[in-house]
Amino acid sequence: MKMRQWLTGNWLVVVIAALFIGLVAYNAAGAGRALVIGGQTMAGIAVILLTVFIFMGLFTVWVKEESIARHLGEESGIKGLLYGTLIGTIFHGPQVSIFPFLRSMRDKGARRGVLVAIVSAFSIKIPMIPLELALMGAKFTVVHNVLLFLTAPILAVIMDALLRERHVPSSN
Amino acid sequence: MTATYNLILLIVCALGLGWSAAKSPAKTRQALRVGGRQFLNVLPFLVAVFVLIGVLEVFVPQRIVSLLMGSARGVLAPLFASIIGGVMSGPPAASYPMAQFLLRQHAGLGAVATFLIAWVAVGTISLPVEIKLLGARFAWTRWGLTLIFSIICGVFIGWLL
Repeated sequence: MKMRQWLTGNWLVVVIAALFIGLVAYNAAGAGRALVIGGQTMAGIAVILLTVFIFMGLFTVWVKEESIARHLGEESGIKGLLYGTLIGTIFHGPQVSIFPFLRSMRDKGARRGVLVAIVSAFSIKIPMIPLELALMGAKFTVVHNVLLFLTAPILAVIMDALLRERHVPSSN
Repeated sequence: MTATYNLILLIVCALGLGWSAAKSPAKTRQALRVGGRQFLNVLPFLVAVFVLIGVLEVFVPQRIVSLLMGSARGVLAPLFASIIGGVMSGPPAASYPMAQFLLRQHAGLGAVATFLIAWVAVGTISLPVEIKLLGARFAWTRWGLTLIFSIICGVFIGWLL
């Protein structure tokens, strides 16, 4: 079970490892060169990676999404979507961990659209911003993250409409 | 430039740790443990992506990337990017080196933005988990919607910058 879970998140690792072993057999010199290039690329951002994971740890310990999530049951409309977007922005677990969280939010009475706002805004990774700044530049980082933040509530509204429209005929 | 940036980052990080330690040493230790565990979890994927970057650089001619994702491809480029990003999807830390590599290989900026968004947002591999927990209709609608939106956002970013 644990193994399957690991594979779900890391299947690409297995594929790349197999590919690389194949390449070693096919062209060892080229594979060695690839390894050097990969190593250099990794070394180039080693310091940033180190700080990113420290930021992530600090974030996990000091930012509590539950304090915002408490408002979700009571608030609806635009305010609910805004809370959803905020939760998604500060939520920082791995990809698969967000779905159990959403399930518990839904069971507590959160609307579908709010759930989508959470997942969409989940694409914003605050602790990753130093890495993005270094590799993609300041302008890209700002536009990318602001856009993600703005589209989360829009996506939520569309999703709400899509699911409601199909729900009405089936319930009658 | 890089050295200055690294230095600034390390200082900010040290300040953050210092602030945290002043408020609660126990929580700071926990933060370092959480960060370390996250790093170990992500490490295999990071190493794999760096190996992949090296392999692509050595074995795949530059033309291929620009042929698939170059700005000359118009909307097709983000479309390819969203599919590749949406299927590869792994830890976000691994997506930025990959994106930078694509840029170096002359992929269009819009396509690279789409790739980044699809990598974290689409979640094709985690669909079974999502269906189990939130229902098939919710999961598939969200999947399709985010895929389309990753393309729209990517094209918009490419156009804006």
